[in-house]
Amino acid sequence: MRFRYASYEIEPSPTVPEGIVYRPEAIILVGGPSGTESIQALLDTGSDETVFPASLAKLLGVELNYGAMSKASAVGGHEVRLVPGQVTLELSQGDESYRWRSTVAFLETDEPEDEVALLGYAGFLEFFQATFDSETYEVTLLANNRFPRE
Amino acid sequence: MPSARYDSGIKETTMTAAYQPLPLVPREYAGRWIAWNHEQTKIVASGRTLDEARQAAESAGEVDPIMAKAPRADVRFLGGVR
Repeated sequence: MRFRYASYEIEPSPTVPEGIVYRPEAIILVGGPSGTESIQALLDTGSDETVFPASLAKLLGVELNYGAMSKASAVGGHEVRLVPGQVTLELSQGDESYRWRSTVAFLETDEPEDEVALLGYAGFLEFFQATFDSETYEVTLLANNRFPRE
Repeated sequence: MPSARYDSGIKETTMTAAYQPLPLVPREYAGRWIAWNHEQTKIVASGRTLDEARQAAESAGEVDPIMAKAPRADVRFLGGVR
């Protein structure tokens, strides 16, 4: 299935003089005991984990395992808190649909401005062949043999 | 299809409507949660928090929004965690 890149206006800089960043993002349906939410999340090959904000866990009624909380470092060096929780994930487009259960990390931040939604290796990218095409602003995802088929 | 030209090994293309990213998210939404309509043709609401944006989308009549977090305008994202 294919997803169009997102585009965001930012402050121009020497490296991004036009002030627009393009990001490969996919829409994923995240499910918990209280419901589901469609989240547009960054496909991040640099992230070891799949990460959603802790505010999403609260919205979906996901039980967080604080006993297994870990600290992680984001690029830039500052430390963040990751708390695992189990969710249902679903990618769906037309007649094509992939659904699986996964333990993902929920990110606790001091400010909502710092929240992120990342589809990283564990729980997401490990199950897909991903092709990024910045010419067409499209990312293509194809389930691989590691995808947990029922 | 885009038209293509090859000069000095550099491929130049002219983008057509078929090859476009999603609509540009204006800078006024930087750092905020935004709610797209389900077709992702327009932003229907925003909020400082996910919950705030979700509720604003519902008030705007969008029952099935797609929620996204716009990056901060002044902070570059260089990769994920660990």
